Amino acid sequence: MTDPDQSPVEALEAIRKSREAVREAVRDPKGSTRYTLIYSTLAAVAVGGQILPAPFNILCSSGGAIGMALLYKGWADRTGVQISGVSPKKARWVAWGLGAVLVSLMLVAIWAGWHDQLWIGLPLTVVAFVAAWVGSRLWTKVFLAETRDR
Amino acid sequence: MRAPVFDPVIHAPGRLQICAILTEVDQAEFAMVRDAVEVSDSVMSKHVKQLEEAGYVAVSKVAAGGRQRTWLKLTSQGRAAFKTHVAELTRLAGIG
Repeated sequence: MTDPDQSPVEALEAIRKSREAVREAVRDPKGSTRYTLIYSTLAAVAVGGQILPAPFNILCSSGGAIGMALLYKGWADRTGVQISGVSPKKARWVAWGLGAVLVSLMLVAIWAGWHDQLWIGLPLTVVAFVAAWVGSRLWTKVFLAETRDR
Repeated sequence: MRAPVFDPVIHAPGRLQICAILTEVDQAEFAMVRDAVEVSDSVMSKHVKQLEEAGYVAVSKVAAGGRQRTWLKLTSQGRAAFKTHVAELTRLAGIG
């Protein structure tokens, strides 16, 4: 805890140390690989499923969204922090960028489904998995770097 | 940009760390913050109450897994106050 008579330099150092607790939760060495794996799988199912006819495409997108919400809630309950992913500034761009990539892939899958180009489904699913994995890891890296530099 | 202002509510021992943690997240659980600040439940509750009364922190209680979890969130007023307080500390420290 801080000393009531601490100097401004000591107070700033106390702030830096306290923020490290959040960075440690985000780093989450035990759970981060499992989280990324589940997240990437859900993203891949949500994207690849769009090539399927109704109601399977809707099941894949809604199932993916519900799965991601449950994954996020489980992570928040375990670590004790809730971070939406759209802050701070640089990490926000990674989150928006990943979202844009996944939505674009979903649109390609929908287009492929309409035109009976079903062979595209598997490569799209793989690309979505890799994009979600890389994006998730990149977000963590950017978040940690950005919060460290403040 | 707001002028640097020293805020005694935020600067007090414990509350400075609580605000520092809450600026990094959307919400943080009471127990996580308490452990990070290294204070007892009662001391933590007292700090949270003072921050809540100042309008800096919002408290919500959510039932999860058969028990109640308390989540803390820095209000926009709290974020602004912490920002100007840190600016004042930085000025006093002669940094930046």
